[in-house]
Amino acid sequence: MKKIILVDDQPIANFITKKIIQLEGFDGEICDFTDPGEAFDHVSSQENLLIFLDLNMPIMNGWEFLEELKTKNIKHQVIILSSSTSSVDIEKAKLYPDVVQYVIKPMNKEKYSELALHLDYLKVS
Amino acid sequence: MNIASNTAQLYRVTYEAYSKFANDINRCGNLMEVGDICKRHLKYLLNFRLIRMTIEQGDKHLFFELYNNQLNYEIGDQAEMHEYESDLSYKGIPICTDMVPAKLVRDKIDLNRHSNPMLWGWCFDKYDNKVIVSLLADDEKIFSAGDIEILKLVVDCIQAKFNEIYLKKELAIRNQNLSEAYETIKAKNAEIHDIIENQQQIIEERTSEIITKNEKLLHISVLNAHNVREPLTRIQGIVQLFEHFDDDSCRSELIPKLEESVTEMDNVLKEVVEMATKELGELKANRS
Repeated sequence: MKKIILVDDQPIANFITKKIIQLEGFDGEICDFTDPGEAFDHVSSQENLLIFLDLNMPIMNGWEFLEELKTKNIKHQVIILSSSTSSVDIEKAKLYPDVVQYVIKPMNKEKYSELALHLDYLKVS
Repeated sequence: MNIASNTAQLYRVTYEAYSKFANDINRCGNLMEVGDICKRHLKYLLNFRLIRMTIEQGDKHLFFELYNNQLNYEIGDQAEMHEYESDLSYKGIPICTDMVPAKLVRDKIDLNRHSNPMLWGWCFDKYDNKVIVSLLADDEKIFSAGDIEILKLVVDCIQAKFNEIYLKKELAIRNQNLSEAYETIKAKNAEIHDIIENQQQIIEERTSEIITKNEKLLHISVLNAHNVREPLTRIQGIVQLFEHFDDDSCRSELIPKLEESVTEMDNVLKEVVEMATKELGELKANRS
C-alpha cells in the first residue's frame, strides 16, 4: 500500500497538494500534517515513504526535519515543496541525498506529471 | 742710530705689530674678543685719543669706539650716525678739522685738556659696504697722512672680521628659522597624517555601516518576498482547482480558502510596507 506524507503548516497548502495528487490519479493513501513534529513521529517508525516537505514552518522547519531524519538514519524519499524561489534554498536542498526533487509552489498538474515521470513511486500501477 | 730715523727697522716693527694684530683678530669669534684685541694692540699701530668706526652691514650699522683704553660697541641703524658721518658717507671726501663735534666726545674726552685736537675722517668703501672712520688726534697723539695706509689695513681687518661674525650670526639665525620651519612642517605633516587617518577610519566605519544596512535590507527584502509568495502560491493553487469542482463545492470549499489566503496576503503586504517605512525612517535618522 503506497502512502504519501504531506508536511506543511498551512492546511490550505496541504489541501491543494492533496487535491492535485488525487486528480492526477494517485491511488494510495495521503496523510497530511500541519505539525512537523507530529509528522516526524509518524514517519520515524516507517521506511521508504514519499514526503512532500515545506521549508518555512514554525517550531521545526523543513531543514530541521531533514537533519532529524539524517541523525536518526531514517530513509525516506523527500520532495521539497516550498514557495521559496531562492537559489540559496535550492542549492542547500541538493546537499541532502534523501531530497529527490525541489518543487516550487503551487503544486500543479504539470509539476506532478514531471515528478511521476522520474519517480516509480508515483506511477499508477 | 735712532729707531725713528731707521726706516727699514721701523717698517719691520710696524709689520710685526700689524701681523700680530691681524693674526689675533683672525682668531676672534665675537665682537667682544675683537674689542679686546683692539684695546691691547691698536695703540702700537696708531696714535689716537679716540677712534670710531661705523661699519655698514646690510641695513644695520656697527658702531665701534675706542678711547682711553675703553671700548664701546653697539649695533644700530643709520639714524644713530653723527651728522658729519652721514656727510662723509654721502660725499666720500675725507675730512681733517679742528671743529670737533661735541657729540662725538661728550662724556669721553675733555677737549680742553688736550692741545690742538684734530678730527680726521674717512669713508672707505670696501666689500660693498661703507666704513666711516673717525680719528681724534692732538699734539701729543700725533696722527699724520703717512699713517693712513696702516689705518686702512686695520679697518680692513676689523671690517672683514665683523663681516664674518655678522654672516655667521645671520646664517645661524637662518638655520634656526629653517629648523623651526622644518619642525613646523613636520608637526603639520603629522597633523595632516592624523586627519587623513581619522578620515580613513570614518570612511571605513561608514562603509561598513552601509554594508551592514544593505545586507539587512537585502535580508528583509528576501524575507518579504518569501512571505508574500507563500499566500500567493495558495491563491494560485486554489484557482487551478476551480475547473475540477462544481459550482456548489467551489462556493463552499474553495471560495472560503481563497478569501482566507487573500486576507493573509493583504496582511503580509501591509506588514512589508510598514517594515520598509520603518527601516527607511531609521536610515534617515542615522544619516542626520
